[in-house]
Amino acid sequence: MLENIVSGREQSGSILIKDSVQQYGRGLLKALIIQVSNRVDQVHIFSFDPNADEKSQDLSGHLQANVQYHDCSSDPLGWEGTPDCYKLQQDFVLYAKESVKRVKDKKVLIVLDSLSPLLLHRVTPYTCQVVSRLKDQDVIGAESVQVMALLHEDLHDEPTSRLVEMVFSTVVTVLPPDRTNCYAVCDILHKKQSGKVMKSKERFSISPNFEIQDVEAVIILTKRKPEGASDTQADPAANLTFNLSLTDAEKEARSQLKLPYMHDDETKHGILQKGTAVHSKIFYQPDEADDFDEEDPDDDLDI
Amino acid sequence: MAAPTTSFRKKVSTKILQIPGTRPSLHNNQLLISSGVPSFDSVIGGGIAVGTAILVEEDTYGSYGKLLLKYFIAEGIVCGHSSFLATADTKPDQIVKELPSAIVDDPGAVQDAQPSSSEADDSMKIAWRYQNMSKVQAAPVSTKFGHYFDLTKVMNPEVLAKTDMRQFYLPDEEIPDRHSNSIMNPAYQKLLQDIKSHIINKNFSTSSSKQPQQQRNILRIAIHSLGSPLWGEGEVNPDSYDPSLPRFLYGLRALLRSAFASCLITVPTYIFNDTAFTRRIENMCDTVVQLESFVGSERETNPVYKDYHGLFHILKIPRLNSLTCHMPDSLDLAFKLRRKKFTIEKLHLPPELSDTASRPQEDKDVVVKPKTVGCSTGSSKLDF
Amino acid sequence: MFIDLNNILDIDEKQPPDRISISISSSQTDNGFLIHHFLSLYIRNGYNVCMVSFTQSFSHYNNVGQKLGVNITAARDNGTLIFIDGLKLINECLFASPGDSGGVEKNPFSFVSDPKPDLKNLYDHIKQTITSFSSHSTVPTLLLMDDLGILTDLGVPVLAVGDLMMYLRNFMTSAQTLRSGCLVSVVQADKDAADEEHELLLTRLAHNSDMMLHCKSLNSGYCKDVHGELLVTWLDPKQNYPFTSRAKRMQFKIMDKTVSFFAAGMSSAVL
Repeated sequence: MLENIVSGREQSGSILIKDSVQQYGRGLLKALIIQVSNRVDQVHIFSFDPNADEKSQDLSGHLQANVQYHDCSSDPLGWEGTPDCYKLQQDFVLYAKESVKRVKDKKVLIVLDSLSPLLLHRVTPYTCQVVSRLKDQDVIGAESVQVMALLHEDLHDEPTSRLVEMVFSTVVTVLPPDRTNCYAVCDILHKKQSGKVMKSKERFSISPNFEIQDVEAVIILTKRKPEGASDTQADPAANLTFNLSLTDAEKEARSQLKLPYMHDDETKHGILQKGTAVHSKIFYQPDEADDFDEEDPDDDLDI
Repeated sequence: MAAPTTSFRKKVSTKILQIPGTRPSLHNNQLLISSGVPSFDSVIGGGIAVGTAILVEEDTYGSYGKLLLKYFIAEGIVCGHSSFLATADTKPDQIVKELPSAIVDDPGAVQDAQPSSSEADDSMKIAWRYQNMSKVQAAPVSTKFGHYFDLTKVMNPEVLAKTDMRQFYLPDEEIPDRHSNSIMNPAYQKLLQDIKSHIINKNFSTSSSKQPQQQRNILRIAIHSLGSPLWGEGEVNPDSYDPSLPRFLYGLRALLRSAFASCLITVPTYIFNDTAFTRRIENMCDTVVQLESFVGSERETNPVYKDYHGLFHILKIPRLNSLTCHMPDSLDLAFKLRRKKFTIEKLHLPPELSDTASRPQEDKDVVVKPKTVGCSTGSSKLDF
Repeated sequence: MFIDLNNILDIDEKQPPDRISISISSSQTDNGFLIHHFLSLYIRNGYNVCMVSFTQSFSHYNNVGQKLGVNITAARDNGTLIFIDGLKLINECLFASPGDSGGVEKNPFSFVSDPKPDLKNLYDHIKQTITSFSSHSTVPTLLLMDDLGILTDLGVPVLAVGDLMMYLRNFMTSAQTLRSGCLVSVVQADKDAADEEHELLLTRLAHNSDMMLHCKSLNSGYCKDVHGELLVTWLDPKQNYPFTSRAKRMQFKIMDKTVSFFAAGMSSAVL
């Protein structure tokens, strides 16, 4: 699914990448930005983290579209008095509108790297509303808008993360790789436009050109065999010098064979008809040696 | 050249301070005072460092904690140290009346070159080679540091009358209303202010130059059951974090670092629901030990522990002016209270006898869990 | 300074970490040796140090420094070391009786008694201190903060402390202000204490760091010869190609004048 989202075959108006210190998501974010930039006219990156600002990043070499960085990291609380930097107490949508100019009839990609400062300093619903409004192309006045954001989920509690996830159509959680030669593993949750929700777990690598490669589904074995049981029953009839098994023709022939004790159907039927109490008859022929005594030998007993 | 403003002194550069009842540590020239229990001094590296706070986490009914407090004060009196005793529950006078009296010649025969066990029945028939192995590695002790006390006798009132003691009994103190003070619990604030004034006014501060160094004395501060509801802990909304106790301990640390004083505090940590809070309290103190008595637990009747009254946990030993700290040989320590004295020893499990006397396998409490040491707390899973 | 540790951390003492932010954390063990390592590394080379301590007095660092062969008092006297005594300054604020706010206002730590604190004053104070080093722009400068967890324990919200560190990190590592600045922040965060605020503070610092040094006690418990494990992680938050995050794990034993490091299972007591 990752490839579909990256290539645009699977449409997604808003993508959220969740990461942590154990596994950074910025590499994936950059790869996504570069791939999506092929399909848009302008890319606007709002850097809330100094590691994501223009000086630290090297995206311009890779991007086809026009990219603009907006400084939201150098003075977010106003302690330095820097005039141009976005301050966290300001209205972000307004700031975005003012920063993103001349986008009429243009396709725009907005990137928020990362959402954490906003979430830490403002109430969570504010951030959700910001994202929701930015997704609307009429707010900025562009032909279409795609929004991508990074979220450090280890800085926020679960309820906060869940609220933020609600406003994104795709949520990719990045996890440490499970193999070497793999960049990371990701859990993808994608809400299609039809309403269907798809989930998958994939591993991938990132090339020096920030292309996403080697995408493989990660199969999780859910059922464990009990210990001691082998995976497949060893077939004892295999690998013998003689043949223990039968072909179908041989089985057919075997069933035709009449064995001595077997009755034919009529006999069987007759016995069954007479009922279960089939008495067998005993024919006794006494000879001269037999002493046929009429007395009942049990008369001696005194019970 | 700025004058040293803390009580930590390096032996090499300055005159050796001769304050009665103190001695330099073998590890780092730190000045030490005795806790009043020589085996306690031994396990924590020789004694309590001047300028530090030692936290004693109380046993469930508080009796052993109070006992250690009494030893601490009694030792101070015998050495001629000044004291500051603060309580919120038992009146200080009452504690003072119950202080044990010092023994001139100790029953424990610690001064022998070969410390033999104090009770005759401890002599071993089979393992006689181990008979002389000391129960605790005791540093050579002179009678001027670390006295033995007889718990069956109380201290002579004449001796008590001569000692310099400031008492702080919370119900008798004027404590301003909580709302007027947003910094910390007003009871703690008052106590801290009083300690500070006492240190300054009585020349215990290291920066005071009123007295020549030779006439310095040590101030022993003993605080009983700090953090209990009687001190006002827990009065604020339990959902919000009350930093009063950490703030108090932080303020105390600052005071002690620049005074010839040490403080022993007992805290009933078992009443705190939050392990994080307990850890924060522990981090604010220099030395931390915990008493775990067997009273009321299944260990009381467990034959494994029949010789002891509880476990003694060393949770933290400070690194003062040094990268290292005293590293105990063993963290498996226990304490026992005999008629006359209280001692701390290495826990040794009795040998497994016949089938009938074997220790129950399913008793999880038998597992001895050594804790890590090194200025921190922690437990690990080393099961037998 | 421990030469072994420099090798482990890939630090060249003639070219100390440039525009790097390092977080030191420890769980159930002592982190002091790491602090003393950086302190002595910078002082013995005559570099600038701004030391902000919340846990110890100056003489503690000085005494340890003497054992490691560096004269911290001399560095302070000739202006290459500035010591901000958090222990003393915070207590001045905490001790002030309500109503006595005259001296306290100028105190950069006055936020401690504030219910909704803002650490801007402390930030300005530290910034000013560092820019006051006469040759700060050419000489490597270390800003060392020991221990941020204390602020949390005293009731300062994690958000406020995190914001301070965010600004300090920008200041120390930005190309404009300092040619070679290094920020080292310390947090004691014991795993078994389950202290959420300390964990959150550490995570926040980690997101602002380039390198993490984490020391923890051994899983097997107390051992006289192996005092703990050190985990060094080089983070790569920028994620430019090539991706450079890596990690190293060593065990250590702290001695009076040095610390020895060895791979797990290679302690001389064991071999």
